[in-house]
Amino acid sequence: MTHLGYLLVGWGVSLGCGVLYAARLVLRGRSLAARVPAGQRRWMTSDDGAGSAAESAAPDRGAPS
Amino acid sequence: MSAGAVKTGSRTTRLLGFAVLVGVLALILLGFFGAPEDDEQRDAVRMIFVHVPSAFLTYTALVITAVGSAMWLWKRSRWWDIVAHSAAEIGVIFCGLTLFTGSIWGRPTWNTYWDWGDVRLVTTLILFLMLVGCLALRSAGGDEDAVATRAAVVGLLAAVNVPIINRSVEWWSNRTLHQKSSLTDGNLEDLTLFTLVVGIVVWALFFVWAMIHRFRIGWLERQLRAIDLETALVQRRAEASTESAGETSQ
Amino acid sequence: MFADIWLVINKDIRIEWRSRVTLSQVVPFALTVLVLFGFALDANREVLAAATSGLFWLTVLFVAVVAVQRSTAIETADGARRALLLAGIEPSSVFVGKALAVAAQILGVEVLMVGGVLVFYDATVESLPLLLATCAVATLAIAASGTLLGALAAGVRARETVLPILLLPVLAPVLIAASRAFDDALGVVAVDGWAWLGLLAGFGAVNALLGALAYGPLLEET
Repeated sequence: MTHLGYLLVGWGVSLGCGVLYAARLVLRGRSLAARVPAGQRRWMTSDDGAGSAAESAAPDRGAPS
Repeated sequence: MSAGAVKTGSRTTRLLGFAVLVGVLALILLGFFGAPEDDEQRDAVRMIFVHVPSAFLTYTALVITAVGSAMWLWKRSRWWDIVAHSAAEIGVIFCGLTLFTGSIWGRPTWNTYWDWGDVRLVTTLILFLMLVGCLALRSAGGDEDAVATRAAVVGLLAAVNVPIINRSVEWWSNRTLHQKSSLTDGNLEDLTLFTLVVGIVVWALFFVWAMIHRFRIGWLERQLRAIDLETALVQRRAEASTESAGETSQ
Repeated sequence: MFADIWLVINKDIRIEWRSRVTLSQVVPFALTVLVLFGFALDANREVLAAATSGLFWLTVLFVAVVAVQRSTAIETADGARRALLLAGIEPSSVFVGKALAVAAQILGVEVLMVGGVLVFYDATVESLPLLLATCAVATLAIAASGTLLGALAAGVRARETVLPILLLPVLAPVLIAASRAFDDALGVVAVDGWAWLGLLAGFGAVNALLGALAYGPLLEET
């Protein structure tokens, strides 16, 4: 395969950025969500089901990152 | 995963995330082993499977930012403001990736990392700078509504000026090296085109996933600001009442 | 409406004239930048001649940042902005008035800069109408987007740094178009300067319209 170095850098940085950004979003979402009182939670799910709207409480092992 | 962890994901986003993971794997397989090499560019052509989808979503993000900005200015709807903010942030990332992969691809193909004669590359760089400015403005802080209005004006300004920038750079260079749009020139092999479409779909799914999470974060931040304000007020009131109580007892 | 616009122009120009900041600081600043470009390019006549248009307009952009910052500072100080709104003047009139006042100042600096370019860079004017038209249209375009972004940056804590990073990328097409039109007007490169002027006019019209529409919400909230 020609130009393998260029390809690896280009793809690697693209996918790497995606993974890092996704991880940041998930972690930031968690730390922020934890600070909101249970009664006022919206757009969120929690494992114990407290305050979650109609969302399921399944563990999210399928999420990316 | 501790019990009771609260998160911004939902069944939909988990499904989306799973689809993205599978899609990326498929894209890697297709991109590196499925699609044939190009006659002229040889294997460097495999870069377009990440470059073109990034570029496509950069401009999608710009449109969403512009729509969200206009809706905020028109309806004063917080929902649209958060949408505009999320799209701008994700757009910056895709925009940076577009520039990066474009440069990396340009080196073996054009023999240069940066070609001033290329209209779309230069336009995208200016767009990148404007989006960065828009985010810097948001992070500078201040009154919530004022920040939203300012960012909305900058978002609209960026979107409105992109066609003009494109025109001016095109006239200026007048000798574009960039391939004619890869999707429309009909020169691509079937499997290459298919891989490119897969790339765009996968990137678009990731975009939607990120938008949902980012939107929820924006919503949470807003809620937390409101809560902080409330607690501060309550504390202040408590202080005031103890002070006045102290005064009367003297 | 025109009376209001005139009122705002009059006020800004008079404040500027009394403080003499443009005359005593912005003009020397512009000439300094021109001279420094001369040093940077090693006073090489050929390079300078080829780069004259670009250097001229780049300097104008720097001048515009300073001028816009001045123009906004007038409104921010002492809550003058609120007073202007309370006086019952349409925000769009305020926008047009302030933009024209800024344009007048930048034009004044440009006149001296053209002189500087003729002397320092050995430039010659081939087409005076094109030169004047480019200055007029480009300056109005710069003033329109500058005034809008100036008002926008006014309420931000780090406004000195926010304004340039917002304004300069937006002005990229102006730099490109005005420089090429100047290339034609100074006889450096044979291009169709009038076509570039058309692009400048388009940029100016779009940004002025957006500015007039968005100025109201910005004034009210910051």
